[in-house]
Amino acid sequence: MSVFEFDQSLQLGVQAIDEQHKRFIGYINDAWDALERGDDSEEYLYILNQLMDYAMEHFSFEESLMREFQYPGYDDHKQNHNRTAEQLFEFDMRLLAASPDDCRAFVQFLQDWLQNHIKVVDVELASFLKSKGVS
Amino acid sequence: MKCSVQRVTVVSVNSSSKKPELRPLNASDVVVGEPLSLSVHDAEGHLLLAKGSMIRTPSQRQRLLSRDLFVYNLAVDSAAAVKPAAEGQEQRPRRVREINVFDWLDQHVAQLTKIYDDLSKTPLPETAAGLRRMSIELQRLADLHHDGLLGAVYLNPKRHSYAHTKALHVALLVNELARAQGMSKETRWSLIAAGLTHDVGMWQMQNDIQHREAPLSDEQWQQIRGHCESGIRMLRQAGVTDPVWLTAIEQHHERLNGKGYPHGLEESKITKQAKILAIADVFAAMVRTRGDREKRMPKDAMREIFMGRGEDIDSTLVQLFIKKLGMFPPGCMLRLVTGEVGIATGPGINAASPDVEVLVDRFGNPLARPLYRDTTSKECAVKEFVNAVPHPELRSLLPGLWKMLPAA
Ligand SMILES: [Fe+2]
Ligand SMILES: [Fe+2]
Repeated sequence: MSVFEFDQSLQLGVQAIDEQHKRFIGYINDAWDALERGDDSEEYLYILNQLMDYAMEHFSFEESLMREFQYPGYDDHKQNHNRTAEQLFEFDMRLLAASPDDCRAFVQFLQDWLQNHIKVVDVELASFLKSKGVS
Repeated sequence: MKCSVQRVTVVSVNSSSKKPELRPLNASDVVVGEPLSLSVHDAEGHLLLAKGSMIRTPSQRQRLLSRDLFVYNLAVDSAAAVKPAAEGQEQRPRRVREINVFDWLDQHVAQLTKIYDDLSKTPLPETAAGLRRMSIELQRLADLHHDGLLGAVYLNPKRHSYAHTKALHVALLVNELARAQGMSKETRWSLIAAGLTHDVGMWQMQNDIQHREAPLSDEQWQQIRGHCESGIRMLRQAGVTDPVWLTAIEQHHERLNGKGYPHGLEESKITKQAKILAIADVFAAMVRTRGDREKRMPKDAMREIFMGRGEDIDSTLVQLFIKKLGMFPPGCMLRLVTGEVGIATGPGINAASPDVEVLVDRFGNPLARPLYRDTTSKECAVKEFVNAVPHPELRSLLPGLWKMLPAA
């Protein structure tokens, strides 16, 4: 069973971002729970809707911080968000036809993406923000 | 099919010299499943929701309580009702007529039709004044009946014309966005007026092409490219001078990346109000069928808007828009995982789970009356959009989905 935990390695030191990442991870765990329970794909819809909604909120939030502090890596970071947002939307469209394996693969993709994104992309944003006095 | 009936309620109004005092609405005043025992007012004492209005859902109650609303002190009210002659007070009944949200839509489409006609022919100062009045009233109503009004313009059961319903839709959306941005009432009035008239420079053409699939002619393209400027010319002729109103219309097709029209302005030159008008305009256009393209489901429209954030449309506004409107805005028709089909009546706790009133059961049988579903519970989650609610009495059931409004 995969449970995605928010640990020290994911802590970036900018409180608002860390809080949002925790919630993001919470939604991913909800999806794992549903899969564990063997819920049918209709059940993921609800979780995926929440996840998608939250992803958009989180991406927009980070981007608004980047604009506010004129972050030089804004365009790249936003592109990175966009690619994942596209995949979220795209998966949403074919979810009802998806098998449990498809779903598992998708949630795993999202989990890997988020972990990697926090450690590689968001971490740079966080250290930039900290240098501007945001904590 | 039964047509909608206008309900008349008689509310007694206290007309003593010693006026009863307003106090904030508190939690015990609002009980789910019961009619309001007191009329609800805004801070200036304007009547927003008449005594006796039903509170149907927990989230409706929550929304009421989350706003700055007031009631007149019950002590004074009831004392006066029992002893009308006491302290020289006398009771004079005043009729507060109530209409449903679809009546509101009919009336406002009719008003706008007259206004657009006047603007196209002989614009008079009273046309501009009429728009002002309409904006002020719309802002006042929309602050309490936002979901119902949005639901009505979205569903548009009588198929009123594209241009007029879209203008009302945009007016409601800009009001909500501007309010969420903390803009003053005055600015919102201007912005609502801009919403009502943003496409007045090409409304006839819009209605002409609503049902036509042919590609646009050169002349039509020119009209589109010029509609921001021709629109404000028409308004100026009617005596409109409000710079917020006029600038918002002039700039509502400008885009952050400078690729908009008519001036190709860069981001910093576009006013916040124009940016608000732009996002509302894009959304309201996408969710409507036009001759040359199918309407999009709201979620799909949101996706489009989200993907354009920062390029076309202000990101902060996009974020706010999704949060305020949700992926399932009022009026959209949905199937739940239970198999039931119904209509979203308002935002639930989050964007992914609206309040839904079910009208068709899971076997496809029409229900005699709407059934509330809390879609935050997994068992009743939203499954998908549907194009229609297969209910033979749908038109007569729709008005009951939202609160009644005081008539103008
Ligand atoms: Fe992040
Ligand atoms: Fe990020």
